[in-house]
Amino acid sequence: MGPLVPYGIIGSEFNFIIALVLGFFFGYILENAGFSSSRKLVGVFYGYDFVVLKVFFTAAVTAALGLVFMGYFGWIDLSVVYVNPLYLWPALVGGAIMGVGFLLGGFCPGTSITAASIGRLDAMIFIGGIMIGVFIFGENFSWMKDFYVSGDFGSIKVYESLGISRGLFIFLLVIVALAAFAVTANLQKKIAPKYNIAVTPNQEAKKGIAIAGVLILAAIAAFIPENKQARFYELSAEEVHEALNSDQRFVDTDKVAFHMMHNVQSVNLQLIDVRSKEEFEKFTLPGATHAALSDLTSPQVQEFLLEESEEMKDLKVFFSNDNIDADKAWMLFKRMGYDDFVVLKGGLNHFVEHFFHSAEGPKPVNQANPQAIYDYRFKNSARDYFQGLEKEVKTTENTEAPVMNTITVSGGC
Amino acid sequence: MNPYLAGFLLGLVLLGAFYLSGRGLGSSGAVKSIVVSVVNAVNPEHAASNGFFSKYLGGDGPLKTWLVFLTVGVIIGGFFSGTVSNRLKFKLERGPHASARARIIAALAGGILFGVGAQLGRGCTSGAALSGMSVLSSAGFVTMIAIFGTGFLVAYFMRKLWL
Repeated sequence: MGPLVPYGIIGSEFNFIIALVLGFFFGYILENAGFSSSRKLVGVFYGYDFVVLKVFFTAAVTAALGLVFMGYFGWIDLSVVYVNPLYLWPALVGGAIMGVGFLLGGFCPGTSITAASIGRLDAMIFIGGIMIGVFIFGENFSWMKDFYVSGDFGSIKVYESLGISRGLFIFLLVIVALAAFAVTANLQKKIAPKYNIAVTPNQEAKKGIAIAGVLILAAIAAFIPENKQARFYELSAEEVHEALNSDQRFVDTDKVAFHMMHNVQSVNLQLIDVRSKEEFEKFTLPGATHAALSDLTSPQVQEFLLEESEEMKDLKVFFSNDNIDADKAWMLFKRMGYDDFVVLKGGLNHFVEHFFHSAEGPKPVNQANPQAIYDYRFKNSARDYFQGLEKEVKTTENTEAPVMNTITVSGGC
Repeated sequence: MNPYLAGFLLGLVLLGAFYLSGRGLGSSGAVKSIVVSVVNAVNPEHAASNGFFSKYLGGDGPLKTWLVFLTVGVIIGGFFSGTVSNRLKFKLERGPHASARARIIAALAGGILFGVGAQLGRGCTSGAALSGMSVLSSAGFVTMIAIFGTGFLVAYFMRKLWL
């Protein structure tokens, strides 16, 4: 699951190489789309060339739709992606200053860099201006400090600000973008000839197909729930009560023991130790995976356990010293919609009591009760098995769910 | 390149940035890094005592940042595109009725304003507006509307530069 670098799937030493490669394509696309020409860029403000609007809007819609779908399919953890915070007043004033700067200079920083790379002198002068501007800002920062942090809304999303659902917002955004493309195409046809600027002919058929495609995607996106987990049901209070009163979530000590004895590291048994790391290191069940209860809310740990449980399909058992912590873990996963986890009944305490400490009972003599005889034999062999194992439990392979350090993602310019 | 295709591809690059590094693109950050480095080289005490510059002095230094590497890539990518499209040329681009002098002054002034504005607005057209809109942040939309809204308001007064 992405983002790959913050998740530690790709080492952070590659982050700069990634930046370099992304930058290459960023620069190539900007230059190739004509963004290295200041006259073309400001055309959007006079109506003779709308390349800025087309590229900018299409890119934003593509990326926004892409993130929605990638989030839905679980390819990217959107909670880790950087969302630039809104400081309303500095954003408005800063934006207004940039707007004037755009019309005077004919560039924005990104486009000026691509234009400078192909030798545009006005772009180089513009970049020199940015440097002076940053310096001026830095030197005057002390008295602007309070304004700089005014109107703090945090990393708020635009649909939250508007009080509508994400799906509806995305849908409206696409509609607005398509309408803007249509209106500006007509404007450009009328205005461009006035300034002796050629208009590239429209390709109506292709355009229609593209528009239909984008609309369909937008309509689908409109129905994608914001949180992947919301796809599953959230339990109501009654359901929680019912689930906790029902014994169905428990798995019997004997059953777990049976599976362990017949195939430790078995493909069909997943044992998850939700106790603390110290307790886990001291003693645990053979083949258990450690994931402390406090870490279970971490997306990395959840993902690790779910991936592991996909390989081990049959019996997925949470255990703690008693039922309580394992129950909490079970509840957490149940609420996320994962139904097939169970709790080791009585926990490790009962397990140890049952197989290690309980005295060997008298052999049932009543031959008419085969079940009692079977139980007796099983318990004895299990006791032998686990007591033999106790000495080497440290050498048995246990896994630990990786707990990442807090992920910090920065962004912005 | 067809602008819609360019926009689509740029959207994919943005998605790549989010998927790989968990962040969007940005351009003014690299310029800021250079300014901070220069200030730090000329007068380290001043840089360290300044509440703004000192923010960027930690870590491996202001030049070893993601955005600086991105911008190096932008320069190479832009140069490569310019080469294959035969657009490499030293040229001062200006409106048909603008003098070279006016264009130079306006470009410098525009750059200065963008430098100030991008710091105040926590990012420029790419870092704050485009990347922000992709993650549907309010900051992205507010910045975009402020930049382009103001642009339309003042366009009339700047027409001699461009038309």
